Amino acid sequence: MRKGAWVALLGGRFSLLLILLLMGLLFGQADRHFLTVSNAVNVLLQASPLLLAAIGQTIVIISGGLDISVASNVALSSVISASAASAYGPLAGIAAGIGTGAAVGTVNGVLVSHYRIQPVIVTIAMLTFARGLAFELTDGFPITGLPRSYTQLAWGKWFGVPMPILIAGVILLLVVFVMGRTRFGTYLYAIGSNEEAARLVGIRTVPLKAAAYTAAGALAGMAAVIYTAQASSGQPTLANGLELSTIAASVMGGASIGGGTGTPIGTLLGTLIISVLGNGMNIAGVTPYVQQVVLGTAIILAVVWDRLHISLVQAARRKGEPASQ
Amino acid sequence: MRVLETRGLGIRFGGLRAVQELDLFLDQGELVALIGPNGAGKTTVFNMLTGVYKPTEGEIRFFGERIDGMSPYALTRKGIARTFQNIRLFQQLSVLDNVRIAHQVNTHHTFIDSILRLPRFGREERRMLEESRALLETMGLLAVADEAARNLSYGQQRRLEIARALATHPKLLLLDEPAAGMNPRETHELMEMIERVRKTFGMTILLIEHDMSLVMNISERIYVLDHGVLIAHGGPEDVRKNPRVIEAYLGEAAEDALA
Repeated sequence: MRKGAWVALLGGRFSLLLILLLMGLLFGQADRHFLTVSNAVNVLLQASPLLLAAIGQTIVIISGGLDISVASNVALSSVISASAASAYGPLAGIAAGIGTGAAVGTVNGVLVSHYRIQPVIVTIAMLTFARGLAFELTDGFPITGLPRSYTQLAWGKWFGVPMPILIAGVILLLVVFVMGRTRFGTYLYAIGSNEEAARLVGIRTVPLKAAAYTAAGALAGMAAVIYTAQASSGQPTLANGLELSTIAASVMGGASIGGGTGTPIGTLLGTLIISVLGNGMNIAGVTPYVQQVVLGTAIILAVVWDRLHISLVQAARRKGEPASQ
Repeated sequence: MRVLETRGLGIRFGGLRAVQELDLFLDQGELVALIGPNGAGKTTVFNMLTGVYKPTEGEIRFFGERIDGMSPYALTRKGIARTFQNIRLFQQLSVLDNVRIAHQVNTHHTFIDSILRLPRFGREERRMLEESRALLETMGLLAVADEAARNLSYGQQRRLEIARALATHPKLLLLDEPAAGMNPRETHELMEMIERVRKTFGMTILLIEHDMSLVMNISERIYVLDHGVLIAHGGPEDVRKNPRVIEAYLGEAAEDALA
């Protein structure tokens, strides 16, 4: 009975998977350094923090919102995490990073849901606020002197798997479960799909919408901790433009800016496409300017192809089984 | 048993008194219609009954308890469900999920339960699924259970709205022009379906309708609203003969003719 739903679901994802494989083959042809294990690990290491932030973005988009403040939140969380880590040790640093991210997210969430200010306005304000605060706290200089056990988050391994990949993987699975199998997830889809209807079937939309931003903020905080460990310093300039990558990854992965759709797995594929594209072009020696042009084109193509594919699948199904009453 | 009662209910929007001095009641198991010409204030009454608007005058009692000013989600949990004149579904979600979400709001387990997958959780999930499917069957929607709501025909979407409202386990169902935009055959089927819902679930139903003839056969009592004021109340035959009702509707017919 769920066959039709499966086809539509996997159809959308298969098309992204296909794009990913084609890109791999293409870059592999262009340069023999591309298709190697060490380069694959390299891509995944770069993709891990992006994935964390992008999943957060997806959660917010599913709930019908948008978070443009992700990158600034990452920078502020990075700076505070690094300060706490150098003063009080690695655990305090991690807690402070995630805590800062979650706090920033909560402020966004309360302003959007309780005070009913448009998400774009709230998060543009937060984008400016958090970046400014990050610079003010550091006078614009990186915060160094991180304990070695903190930077191990970037370079340590567990059963041969680098920590960032492990963390991103575990969090991804957790979010897949929460969004797919819990009421919190189901209700967020409902709110994003039709907020008024959600309220009228008895869903408490205000705290749930706020919680989506808190979750996104906490995930941005985790991304900040990994970036900070990778850079071995807290940086107020960190993650410039990250918000656009997270939105691109979500939208490529099937999230609609209108809310109510999107999946963490789709966002994983979107994140991988962005990361592979960047890495492949770097290896192939494409200039950063051209890279941006290609990335922009790729985002549009992926979305157009995805929508086309889904509507083709639906048309095929309608032909197969005449509309039942 | 008295399910719903309003006394002196009214609301002002600035200087405009959209509804005033409204007294109405519903007893257990009744099907009552609220009719009136366009702009009479019918939907405004619904919006007050469901907590969308806060009345500025009078009171609303639900099983004897004051409920005016409560929030929509609280009223849903107390047992008041509604549908809309303009369809408001979770368009991107499947038909089954539309109904299941409404079910979920009214069953109780915590986040920890769903992580631990406790037996209670499994049982409730199964029961919820069965109930959702049974509801879809009653509303003739089981065949399209896995379709996204936005892919349904107009008549199917209207029926899904009713199914979703029923899934919240209401004690009182408010239907806002459920036949709007339907062709005569669909309308006829819908009215039969509403009868069936009422009998199957012993539901108390308040129905808003613009077209008087639709509700004549199925409602026990009819309230007629015009310009925010109650102009008649009684059995279908009494209301049909009431000169003020005829005038209100004739006036509208004349306006239509002039337009």
